[in-house]
Amino acid sequence: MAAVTIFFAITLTFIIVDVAPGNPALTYMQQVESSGTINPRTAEALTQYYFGLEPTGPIYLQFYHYLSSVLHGNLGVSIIYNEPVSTLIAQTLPYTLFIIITSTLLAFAVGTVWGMRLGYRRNTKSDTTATVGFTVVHAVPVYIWAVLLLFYLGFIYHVFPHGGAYGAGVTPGFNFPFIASLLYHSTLPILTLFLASVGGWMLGMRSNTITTLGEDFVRFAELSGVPPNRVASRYVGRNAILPQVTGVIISIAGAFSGSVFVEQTFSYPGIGNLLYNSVTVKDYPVEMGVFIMVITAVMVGTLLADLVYGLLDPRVKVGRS
Amino acid sequence: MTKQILQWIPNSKFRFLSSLVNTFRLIWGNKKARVGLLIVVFYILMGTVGPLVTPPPRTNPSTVLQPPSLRFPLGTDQVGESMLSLIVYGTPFVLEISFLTALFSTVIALVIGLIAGYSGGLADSILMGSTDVIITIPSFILILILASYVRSSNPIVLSGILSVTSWGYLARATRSQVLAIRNSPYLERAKLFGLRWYSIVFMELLPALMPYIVIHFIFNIQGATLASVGLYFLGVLPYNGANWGVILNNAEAIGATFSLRYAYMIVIPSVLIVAFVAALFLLTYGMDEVFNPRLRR
Repeated sequence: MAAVTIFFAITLTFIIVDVAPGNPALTYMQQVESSGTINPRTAEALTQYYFGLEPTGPIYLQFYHYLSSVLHGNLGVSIIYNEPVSTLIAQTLPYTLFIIITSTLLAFAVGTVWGMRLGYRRNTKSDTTATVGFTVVHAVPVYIWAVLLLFYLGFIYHVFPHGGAYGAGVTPGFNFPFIASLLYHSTLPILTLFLASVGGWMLGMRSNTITTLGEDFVRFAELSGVPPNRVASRYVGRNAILPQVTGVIISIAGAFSGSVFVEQTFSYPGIGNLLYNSVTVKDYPVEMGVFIMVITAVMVGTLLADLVYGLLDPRVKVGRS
Repeated sequence: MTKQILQWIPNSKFRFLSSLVNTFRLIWGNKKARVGLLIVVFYILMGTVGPLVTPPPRTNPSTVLQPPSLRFPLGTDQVGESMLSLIVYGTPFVLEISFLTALFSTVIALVIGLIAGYSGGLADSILMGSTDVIITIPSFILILILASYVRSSNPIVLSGILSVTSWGYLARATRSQVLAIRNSPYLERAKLFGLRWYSIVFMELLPALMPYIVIHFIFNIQGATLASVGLYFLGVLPYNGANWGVILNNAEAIGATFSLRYAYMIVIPSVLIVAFVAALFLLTYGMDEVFNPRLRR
């Protein structure tokens, strides 16, 4: 499944770059050729260099070359920065992974615990208030969270910085000032992604809890005198959390989408910002490389979520689904 | 009593109408759905009747960046256009995009789910494989890349791009519904009576799928609104008059995030978008309760 998805991503980028009418690779080659100073063979070599594919020849051979070069880690070269796309991604991806993983874990923990509490108190006054509140929180799109947080915490109260990944005076590396500065600068991006997803976790867990509470085995456990805390953790919680674990994959994918807005608003040097910048200047090799890498990252997340699911649910044996 | 009588009336047109009225009554009876529906109707009115009763946005150098006042209820932007007019004239475009996206993705999902469910075998595996792919990939990143390649503000093209990523869940639901009824005795009976495949689809399958379709439709309107406003907010699409996203983009571009005085330029479009999205959420929750009696309690 993961391999199929990555193959799909590579095929799609190949179609956009090299097959679709008015595709960037051909346009680029024609532009270079029509400048007059460069002969066609050099133009072809330049296209091959930047896009990581051979612009001429039968389409299946072109696809084979593209696929093998991508699988060997050659994602092409940025037209704007004139640097290998893989280098640009290696510089930016860690920052994005840091904010995405931190915010997803925080939102998952807070939303799940709170959602279960509300599920237990369904239809009380505090449940209704919290549910309406979280619905509104859930309805605010990530770009509005980003702008509002930048506005209130970054500018009005000057609590957090409004750009960059670390301060001017620190040297990147494993030292305390750098890590402190990194955490300080990533607080607003993490908070934005957290707020944009916590409502979904909470509402999901609430309805899972309500559904599980209606099951016969919960009633049976309660009636046979199992302590309420044990019922909550082992009978209700363990079953209600399963759909949430599946949701992690979708949430990671959503966080990658959201990182484009978050990193653009906070000028945080992650992969979303890289993608945004390359979209505005039409740096197609970078766009395609980012797309393939993001899909690969999501697929790794999917595999991890599957493993966790197997640990939580003994009915699923890992490796035999 | 009337319900029982209606069920015995052979005229299928009348039966359809009565079931529609019944569904509407159920939705209206649910508090969440009612509030959501009222807000959505307000936005639809804003998009249809609004432009007829509001003066079009006009640039005016003498009324630049005014906070909300009697003359400009929602203030003015950096070229002196009334924010109220910008919002009202941006609404039809947003509604059109989201409606078309929901329509496209519903049709794609139904066709793929039907083919996968009916044919089985290799076609089924391929179609369901691509459904899984579509569900897992980060949709906005794919949308952003496709939009950067196409760069068009044409509603149909834009809705086509937006619907590429949103048909997964409904296609899966359609397929399982097809599988569930494909070998059922009542379908055998229907086939024995000589029912054609299209009447099976329209008379048996679609009514069973209706709850999924309605909720999918609303979720897609919501998703498409957010994604299209997001694309305009990022400014990757050709400038298109007054879109809600363009208003936000302008606000960020003139530095409204830097001062309390121009905060209204951010707050007003934000409230506008959030209210619409929250109303659609309420509508789906209410409908969930209507369709799924276990949640009612």
